[in-house]
Amino acid sequence: MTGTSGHRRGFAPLLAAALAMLFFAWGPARADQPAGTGRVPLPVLPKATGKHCVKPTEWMRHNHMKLLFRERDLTVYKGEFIKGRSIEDCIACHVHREPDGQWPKPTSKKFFCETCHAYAAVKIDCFECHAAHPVKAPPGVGPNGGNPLPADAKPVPVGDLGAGAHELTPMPVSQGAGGGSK
Amino acid sequence: MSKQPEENTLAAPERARRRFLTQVAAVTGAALAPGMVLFEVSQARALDQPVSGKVRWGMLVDTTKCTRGCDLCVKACDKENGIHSHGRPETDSQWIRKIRLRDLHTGYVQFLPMLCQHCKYAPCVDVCPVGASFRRADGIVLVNRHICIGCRYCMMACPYKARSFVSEPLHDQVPWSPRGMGTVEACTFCVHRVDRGHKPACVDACAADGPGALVFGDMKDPGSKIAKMLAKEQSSEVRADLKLDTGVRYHGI
Repeated sequence: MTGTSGHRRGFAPLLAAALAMLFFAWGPARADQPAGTGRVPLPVLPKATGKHCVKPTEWMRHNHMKLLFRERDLTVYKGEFIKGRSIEDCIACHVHREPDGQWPKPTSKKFFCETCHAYAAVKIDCFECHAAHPVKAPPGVGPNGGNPLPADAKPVPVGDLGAGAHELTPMPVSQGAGGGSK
Repeated sequence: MSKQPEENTLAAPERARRRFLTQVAAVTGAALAPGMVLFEVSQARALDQPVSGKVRWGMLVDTTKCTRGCDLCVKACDKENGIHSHGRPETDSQWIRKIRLRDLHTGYVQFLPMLCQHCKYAPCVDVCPVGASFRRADGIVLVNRHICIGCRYCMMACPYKARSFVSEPLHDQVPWSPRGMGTVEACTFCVHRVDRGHKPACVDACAADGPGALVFGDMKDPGSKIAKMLAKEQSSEVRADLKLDTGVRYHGI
């Protein structure tokens, strides 16, 4: 057994040296560097239109998801909105049309969020539901209320209906008592 | 945000005018205060304040006015919330639909819109295994689609068949009504409008171009139109036997 431990003692400094070498080799690579010197090029973020973000850029880089999670719960459960901090506001400032006039797809690296997330190997699904580009609500539609239908959208007069026209929607129709599922 | 000029930079007449306006406002406020509340003021909520249980949003459907052949409420809902058909009616999302009721004995036929009834004791909230189905303090029943796992228990529990499951990827959703694959959705009472003091899209469309069969408002505010009509007219819940205390009530069924 003593022979074995002596063997171990002999290897300990070597191992430490190897670890130190690994640290010095990898350490600086992990820190932010100007693009081009690392193995993976750093993302180039599209410039935002606003003057400044809701928090300093460095803070946002590390904590934006905590902010988003906290405030989405405030909005969903309590109906509270913090001015300038909804996901719509983020999009309005950070997403711009491409030179060809198209909006970048949320899965494209030209999309603000995806630029960094591709680099950091983070996958998000925000934009499977949320709109990924600013949308201006037409009159009557959206948060400002009003009649969303165009002015000429009049109901069909009863006289025009042929037989069976009462099937207004193709969903199963309740026949008096009980549901009508097929 | 518009910039307000600083008080000390204003010319003397402007300062005097502002003082006068402030005093007038104070006096008017005092005169209004005892027992007299402006209708709109009583409904408005600052968006940075949480919703309150002092409000309960509700809808009264006058089925005697709801006409055959009219689907303005359905169209308005689809347009407002960006709901598009996939060409498969059995599985397309429906937040509101028109229903035909026929009395089996007399043959009397009537029509009514069926939507999420925003129950006080909502079965969908009871059965949700992850707490995604919830009822907001102001009575609006919603799905938190951030945590919905798409199990569809709520759809089975709902006696009104009010909920839909999104089974296909969606594109071009509208920002005020996020919807997505793998989650359950239903009428939100157009919560994005209601939060800003407006009425749901179906109600506005029915009032503007249709028969005006839908009344929306705060059922707990005795001065609101809906509370007055509920106190005056007969109305009932669909499946009242379930004692769910629905937020949507029907007149004439």
